Amino acid sequence: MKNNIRIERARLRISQQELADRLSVTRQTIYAIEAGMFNPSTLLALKMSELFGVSVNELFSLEEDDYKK
Amino acid sequence: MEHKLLPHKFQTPAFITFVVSFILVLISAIIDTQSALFQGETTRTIFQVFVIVLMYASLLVTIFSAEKLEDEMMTSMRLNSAALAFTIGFGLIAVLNIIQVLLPDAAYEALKAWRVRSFWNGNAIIYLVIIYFLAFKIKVWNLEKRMKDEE
Repeated sequence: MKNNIRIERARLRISQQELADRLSVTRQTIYAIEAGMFNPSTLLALKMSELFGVSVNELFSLEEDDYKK
Repeated sequence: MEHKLLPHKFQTPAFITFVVSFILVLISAIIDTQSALFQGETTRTIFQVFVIVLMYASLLVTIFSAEKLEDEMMTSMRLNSAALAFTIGFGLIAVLNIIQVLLPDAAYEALKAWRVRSFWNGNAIIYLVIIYFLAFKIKVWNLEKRMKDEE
């Protein structure tokens, strides 16, 4: 699964730490999501969607390999 | 994120206590085995019982202490570590038991006489818990290292 968190974060000009604080998670979690190492829960994805003002589908999208799992 | 873990401040002192008591239990078991082998059966002293209880208690406090910040990724890492510990721990115990069964009778009796055998296969919980804790800490450390490398 790929995501546009880094791009959306750059658009709002906020750091990983600021985003983490606003979402009540650790900076490690934001880093791991951006790096594709961790898939957030639906709750966190919806919070991100609300914060960035875009739909969840615009933030996260499936890749070819995800259909093989 | 709400959690039902102990405060983070307990983790380091509990871990130090665990390491010290673990070493003491091991030394005590070796000394006790040697005296049992040469002078017959010996019973556990109050000190030995105290150190064993301290070892288990400090280990439990260590693993049930929260990290500085707990969130859903930490929970996920804990679950992955628990799954890994179960797989490795169960495999390790199974292999050790198979080796024990395959040992000649004399060697098995010698093993039974060796009081350190509790570190051989008699103490599954402690292996599982240690593997879980190490796996979890390595995951956290690895993530932080990757973050620092990228900065």
